[in-house]
Amino acid sequence: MANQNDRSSGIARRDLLRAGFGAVMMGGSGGFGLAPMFASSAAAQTSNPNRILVIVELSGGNDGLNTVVPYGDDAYYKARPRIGIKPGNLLKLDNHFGFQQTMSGFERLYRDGQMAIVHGVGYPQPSFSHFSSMAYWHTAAPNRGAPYGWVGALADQMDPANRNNFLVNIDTNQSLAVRSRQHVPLVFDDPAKFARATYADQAPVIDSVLKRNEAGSAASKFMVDITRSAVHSESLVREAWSKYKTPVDYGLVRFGLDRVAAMIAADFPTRLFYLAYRHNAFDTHVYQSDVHARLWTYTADHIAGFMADMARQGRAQDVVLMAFSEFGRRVLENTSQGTDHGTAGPVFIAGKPVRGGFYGAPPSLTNLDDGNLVHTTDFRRVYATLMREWLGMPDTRGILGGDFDTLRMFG
Amino acid sequence: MTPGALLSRNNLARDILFPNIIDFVDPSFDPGEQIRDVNTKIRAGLDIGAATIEQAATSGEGQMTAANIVASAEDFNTRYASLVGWQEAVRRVKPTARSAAQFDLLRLVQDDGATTAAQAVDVLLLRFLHEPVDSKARKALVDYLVDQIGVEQLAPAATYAEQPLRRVAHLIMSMPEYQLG
Repeated sequence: MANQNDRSSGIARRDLLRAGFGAVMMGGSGGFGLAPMFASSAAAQTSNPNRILVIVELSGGNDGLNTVVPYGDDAYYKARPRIGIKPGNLLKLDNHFGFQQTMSGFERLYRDGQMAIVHGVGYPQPSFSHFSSMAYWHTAAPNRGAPYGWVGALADQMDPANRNNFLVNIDTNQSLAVRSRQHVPLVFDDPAKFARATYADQAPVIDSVLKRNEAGSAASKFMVDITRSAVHSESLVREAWSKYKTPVDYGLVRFGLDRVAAMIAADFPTRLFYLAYRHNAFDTHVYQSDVHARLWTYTADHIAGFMADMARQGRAQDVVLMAFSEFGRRVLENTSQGTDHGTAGPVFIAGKPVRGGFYGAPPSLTNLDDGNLVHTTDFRRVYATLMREWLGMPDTRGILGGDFDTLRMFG
Repeated sequence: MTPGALLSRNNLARDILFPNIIDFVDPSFDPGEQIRDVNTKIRAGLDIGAATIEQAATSGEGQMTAANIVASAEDFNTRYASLVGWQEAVRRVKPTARSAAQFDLLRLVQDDGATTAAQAVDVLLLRFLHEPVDSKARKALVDYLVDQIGVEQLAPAATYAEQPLRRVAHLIMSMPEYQLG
């Protein structure tokens, strides 16, 4: 872990990082307009400055019915005679629902009252395309789309001062969700490789090139800003990662929450993290039982490990995580012992500040729309809940395109 | 474009200009530590059971139990089978071609009429960038090249100017403007 007693010019390192360390350094070396230093907006100050939101995308369309299994409903077993999970193989949450057995990490969080499960989350006129539906979730604009992501727009609203590293996306490619009008998201995958490879004698030349102020076109200026952001973030990220040590078991597949934990431990000013279980992993069309069970072993263990690590860091009260997928699967199993693209599915929100339990009405397994679940909770209600109740941002209309009731999930 | 993507592109440029041939190990010929370990032990004369026992099982508690399990499974030993499989596979594998990009930057700039370091930089800037860079950036590149080759004229440095020119090309490809166009 970072040594929080380190001092630089009389200013605590923690304070430097929270204020946007890269901006501070460039402020001292002249002419860096991307991120004003130390400036924090009134909005950011009133929106609970220690609170962090971590968003996990489960790409591919998770089969919600085999995740939070409605074992108390005969219709479930009638629809899924071969892949339905029998009651004896479930981690029962109550007399109607249960997790599949591999989700012990989630079960612990639920039992501890640190997990909210929102049933039947979706949107009207659902798309069955991974690309379209994910874009709707990314932009909070179903059936119309938007140029910026909802997380990117949220960053703009929370932090008008555009601090460096306020918004982080752990991935090989930037997600549409974090695309922002004002912020440059910090996007990286492997911290060890998040570095510019140069020879020793080249470094001073690159520094010299980046210090110039005569960038030409608007596009050129934008690229100069991006480059400066890269140069200043890379060393911070690598330092945070190399110093981070944790005894917590993050499970067999680490899709990025360990890196989030490292950045939180290093006191990055990041308030919004976005990452994904990638490569359409949850797209379980064929022989899904084993692979879906494994996916949830990895996912539940990784998320539960992260939550345990936050508690170990003393940040359990500051961090909330949401896990979602772009759609659920059809109710009926297919002839390949898998499931095809569907509509609504559960959303999971984990963290100590969460009032654990079920939210929203479970969708009917018999009153279907062409074989698909009819959503009972608009996903923008979940977003509104996180924005208003957790992050303290009252104005959700501009981002969500309308007013949505919150779920009263936080105390 | 993100900071991470920018760094990746910069690093790709370096890998093309300065491929790390020394550290390259053809994965088709690299069986990994486990196979190497078993191979070493078999060649040293150990029997299959002893050669394929897991390292962790050869010390501490459970040593005898683990050894017995391995010995009893000797006739169906996947580690030994893997070794033999690799030996057979490697006979048939065609090597992955691994050669550096064949280009001659010195000839390229000279063909475009450059006789000085400054002119060489101008040729490379024109070739790689769609937008001109400011005078300060250009001067930094010229100074760097002169420093690397030791003279302002290219001709006296013709025998060794290729590597410095590649470094200049890499610097240009690391500049923000390279991403435009």
